[in-house]
Amino acid sequence: MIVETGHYALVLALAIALLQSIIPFWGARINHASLMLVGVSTALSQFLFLSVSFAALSYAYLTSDFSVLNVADNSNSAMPLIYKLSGVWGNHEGSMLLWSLILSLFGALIAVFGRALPAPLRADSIAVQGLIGAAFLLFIIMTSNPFARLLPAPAEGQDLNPILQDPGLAIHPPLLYLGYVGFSIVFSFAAAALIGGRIDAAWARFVRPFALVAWCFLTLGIAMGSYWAYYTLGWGGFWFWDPVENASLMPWLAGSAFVHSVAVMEKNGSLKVWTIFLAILAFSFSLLGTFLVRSGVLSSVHAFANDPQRGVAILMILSFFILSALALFAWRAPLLKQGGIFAPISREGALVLNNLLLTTSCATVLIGTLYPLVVEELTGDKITVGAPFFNMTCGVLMLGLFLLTPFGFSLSWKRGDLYGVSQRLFAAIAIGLLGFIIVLALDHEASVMATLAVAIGLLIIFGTFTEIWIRLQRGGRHWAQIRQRAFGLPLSFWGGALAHLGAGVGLLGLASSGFGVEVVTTLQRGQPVKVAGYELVLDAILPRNGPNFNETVAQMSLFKQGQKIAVLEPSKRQFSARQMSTSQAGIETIQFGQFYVSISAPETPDSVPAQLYWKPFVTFIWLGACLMAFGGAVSLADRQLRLRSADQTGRAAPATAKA
Amino acid sequence: MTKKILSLSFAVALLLATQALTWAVQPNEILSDPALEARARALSAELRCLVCQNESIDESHADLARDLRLLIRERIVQGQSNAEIRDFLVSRYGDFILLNPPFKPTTWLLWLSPVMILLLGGWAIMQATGRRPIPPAPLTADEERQLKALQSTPPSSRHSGDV
Amino acid sequence: MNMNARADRQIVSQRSGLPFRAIRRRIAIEVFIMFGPLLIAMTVLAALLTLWPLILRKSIAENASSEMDFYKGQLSDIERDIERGLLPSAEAEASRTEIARRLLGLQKEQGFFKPFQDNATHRKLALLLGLVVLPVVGVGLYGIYGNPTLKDMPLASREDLGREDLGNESQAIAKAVARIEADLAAAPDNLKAWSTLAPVYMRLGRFQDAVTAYGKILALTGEDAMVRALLGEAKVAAANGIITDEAKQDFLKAIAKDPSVAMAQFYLGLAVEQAGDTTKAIALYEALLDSVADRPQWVTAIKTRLAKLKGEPPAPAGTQADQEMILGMVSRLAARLEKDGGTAEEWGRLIRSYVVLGKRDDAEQALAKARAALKADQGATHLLQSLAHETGLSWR
Repeated sequence: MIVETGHYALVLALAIALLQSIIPFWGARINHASLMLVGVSTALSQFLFLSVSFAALSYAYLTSDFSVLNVADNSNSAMPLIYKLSGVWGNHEGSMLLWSLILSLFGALIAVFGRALPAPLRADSIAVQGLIGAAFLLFIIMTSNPFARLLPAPAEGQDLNPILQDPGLAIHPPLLYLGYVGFSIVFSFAAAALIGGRIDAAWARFVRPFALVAWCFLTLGIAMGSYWAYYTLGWGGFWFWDPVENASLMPWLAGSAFVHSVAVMEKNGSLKVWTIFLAILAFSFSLLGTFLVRSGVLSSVHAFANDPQRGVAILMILSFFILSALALFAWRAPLLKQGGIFAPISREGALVLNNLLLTTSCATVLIGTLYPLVVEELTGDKITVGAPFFNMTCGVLMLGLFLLTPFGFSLSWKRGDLYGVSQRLFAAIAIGLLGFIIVLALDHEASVMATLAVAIGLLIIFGTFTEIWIRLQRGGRHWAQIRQRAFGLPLSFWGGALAHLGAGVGLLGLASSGFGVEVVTTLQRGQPVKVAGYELVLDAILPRNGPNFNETVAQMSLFKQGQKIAVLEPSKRQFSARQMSTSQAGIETIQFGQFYVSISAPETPDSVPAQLYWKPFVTFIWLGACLMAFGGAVSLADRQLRLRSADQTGRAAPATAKA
Repeated sequence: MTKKILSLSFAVALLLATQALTWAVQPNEILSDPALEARARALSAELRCLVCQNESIDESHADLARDLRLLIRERIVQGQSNAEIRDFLVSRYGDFILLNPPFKPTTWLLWLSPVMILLLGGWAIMQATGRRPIPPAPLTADEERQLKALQSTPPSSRHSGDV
Repeated sequence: MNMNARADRQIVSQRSGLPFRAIRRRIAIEVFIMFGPLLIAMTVLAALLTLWPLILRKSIAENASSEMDFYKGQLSDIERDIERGLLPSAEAEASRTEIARRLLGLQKEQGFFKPFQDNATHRKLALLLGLVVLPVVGVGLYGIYGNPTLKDMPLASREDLGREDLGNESQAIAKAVARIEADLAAAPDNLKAWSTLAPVYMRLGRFQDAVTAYGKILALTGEDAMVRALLGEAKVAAANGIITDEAKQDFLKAIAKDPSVAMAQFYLGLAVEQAGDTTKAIALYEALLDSVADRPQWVTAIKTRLAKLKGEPPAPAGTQADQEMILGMVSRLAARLEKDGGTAEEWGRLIRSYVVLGKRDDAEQALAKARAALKADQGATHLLQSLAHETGLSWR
């Protein structure tokens, strides 16, 4: 009964989503209070019913109810509990349900946290959110129903794809979706603002927290996926410019541009048109990503045997929303009054440049991803656009962006003084240059890009610290004064500083991949192999049994100067239910670097071919990403505070207003 | 309803093509001369494994990738230049094998688009901000008075009717 | 041997007219009786949760002031910065002017703001829309895609039902059995209940319970050759297909009462076979074959035994001639389906036949053709898929 309850809840959620897209919109047109309020009730109950539906599917997974086709295809009674649960979203139908659940969650967030919003804006954005929800729910129910039943129920399920049986991949999709889908709210707000015709600095204030939430989760989701690829794929790579990775990168780039431009818009009302356009763009890329991944249109390995029916359906949804948003944009944008003014050399000016570089990168990724498809369609020629192309084009663009970062962060609003800022950043610039020279002196073969990345990474980090220090000592250099000042600075400043530090740290991590040591060899038992000052010894090759797999483990000891410092256990796993194998790298983190070992199938009981790496500072990549997301969250705390302050504690606002 | 494989997250499927492998270059393939080996590695990183999409032959475990790796090393040992080897492979497999697409009429748009977008965007920005910013006229005395009045009224505590 | 017992059971159940179909239908209705109110309750809940603002005529207060608060906050920020000298004064002054203008503009606009209305006609129309959309979309779509008569089938509840997995039926049947058992606990001498239960127990693999049930029936009705033989069969099944002495006694009693009970004869033959006397077993089976010529199920079962004993390859069904006949039927069915199409059941029969005949390639092809032909029919596709699952054919 629970399964069918979930199915019915799903259908009811669709009905509610339809009402959500009609009644509040209607109410906003005629300024009808209770009709607009239906936006709140429908958004909340759509989320409630989808939660019930999702819980029911999870229940079917947890109890191994193989009469549910989706469970029979993607689960197995022997699977550990966590993968039974993650199996819920480890397949097309379930992941689309999660997609819709998160979509409705964000709708509910507008309902709950949007009390301070002008009522028509809230009603309209909830209505747009409802329309997106209705389209996807209809898609799920008609072409991808996770509650389809299977009779008679098979005695055993087919197991979850072993690749997905990994803690990293268990939590990666929800994180990624929270980001991906989170931009829907920004889209809905933009559409609502265009419909209502009121687009001003206050709109930017309202939408910014939601954009930050989405951006934080997307950052974490991408970082998580990248770390998973790093430790599973076995050659230590962390980004492959695969079309599906690109699909998640595009909304991130557009979203990053948005969180910057919306800050400008909030500050002085300028960049309105552009910000609205970015809002539409960011979610359009999310939809495009969903289409690319789900339809199998890419002739990459992701092109699963999906039937075209689904692809066409998503394409229709995608086209409808993007085209109608753009039409709305074309109709309303010219009517917008110009906002505040600023000089070219100013914080605003730097952020405009930031947006230019980010959107160009985004466009490059888009073109690079789709180009082979288009060329093949038009000329029949098959070409490949692979990592070297993206590394070069996006690499240069992103280095330019990072070079700009510390300057932009230090420039003042309205009109800045580039010369003064350069003087302030003198120490940071010097450190960057010094880093550049030292790296070149130590490693003559270092690539130019990697060395530049080191220099720019150092520049960002020290430039950010410089700016923090300058702000802190403004009220006096006494310890107590500095402390008071630290608390006085708005959290959004701290958030920005942390995010920029994260970018610098991440850049250093990326650069470090150019300086690793790699040894490819066959390990013999008992014979040490030297890698970058470490010694690795193969101790034994053992079979081991997991809950639903068998693995061959190569036990190794890692020595530094004769001291045993770690035991590594890279392995190969064989999953019987699907006849697939996966590999687990052996990884030891030493300070910020990692010693990384992956093995092939053993040749004899005492020898195994292995690839050994020393990757200095590699963890900076993900630490940087976490720092960026944390910065976003800190910034968010500030926004929330402000929203509330405008709401309940408004009376005290002038007194506690921040510098 | 077809039986579908999971395509949930990015890069997942990378593995599908490579599921049986751990990694690519095997110890027994390696050339004894480190300089030549380094050339071989660099070259194979630029070449696509034709059967397992979006992976270089350096990373791939497919048999074809292995054959290509060996072929490259053979030719390097014979003294061929990188360009010669690349040309040979292109003549055999087409541009498809190059991860870095060559610059030719069909790819002009690809290679030039980042530059074009950047220039176009830059131009648009110049257009938009090139106009000399006119500072707004200062507030009139009347406006100042209204402002004072507005600021002295406390923010209303409304939206209470909304549950 | 166990296989034989099982094959017999199937036949026996059919012959004793077990109302499986009826039970299934009753269970479906019963499930729906439980699920129906839930369906209605959920719809009503959805209507209340979504439409309460319309029902209660809930209103919202004017809200534009949040924007004013925002600008006021911004303005005081700027003024504070100017006081402290943190901003170059010309820019700060310009910012202040811009924000002040926006604030004043907003105030002017607010004078024109229409107050929220609470028009009853619109409210009622919206309410009506909600009350129509929820049940129509909900029940309509669920009616198309839902399975309101299917219960949950968590693995744990199905594990004790034995290897022969009966899918959702097993759940439903187990439920019905439990109810009848409860009735019997109150009135243990209900012959009808025991007669219903006994073959169900056999089918569910609860052989010991079946022994009890048939014993009870015998006690209630007095000696009966057929029931005696069924009791023996239950004992054989409970002993994993071994003809125990006790079971043998039952078969002998059955024959004493009515020598034509083929089942008893067959198991006695099987007992001889198990004792290792092949020649005698063959003789018994062949004698039996003549007397049951008009009952094809028994012919098949006996022929299988004979083939085994004579060391022939285990023919899937019957003799060479039978084989050929079957092949002919199958190919005719295939030809007809390919030409005129057919239902999922017919395709299923064809696919199954191929599987039984060991022609897996043909089965795969037939499955593919069936899928292509019935692509539009979701129910049929389901059926085919479960068939593929069951027979181990690939479903790509």
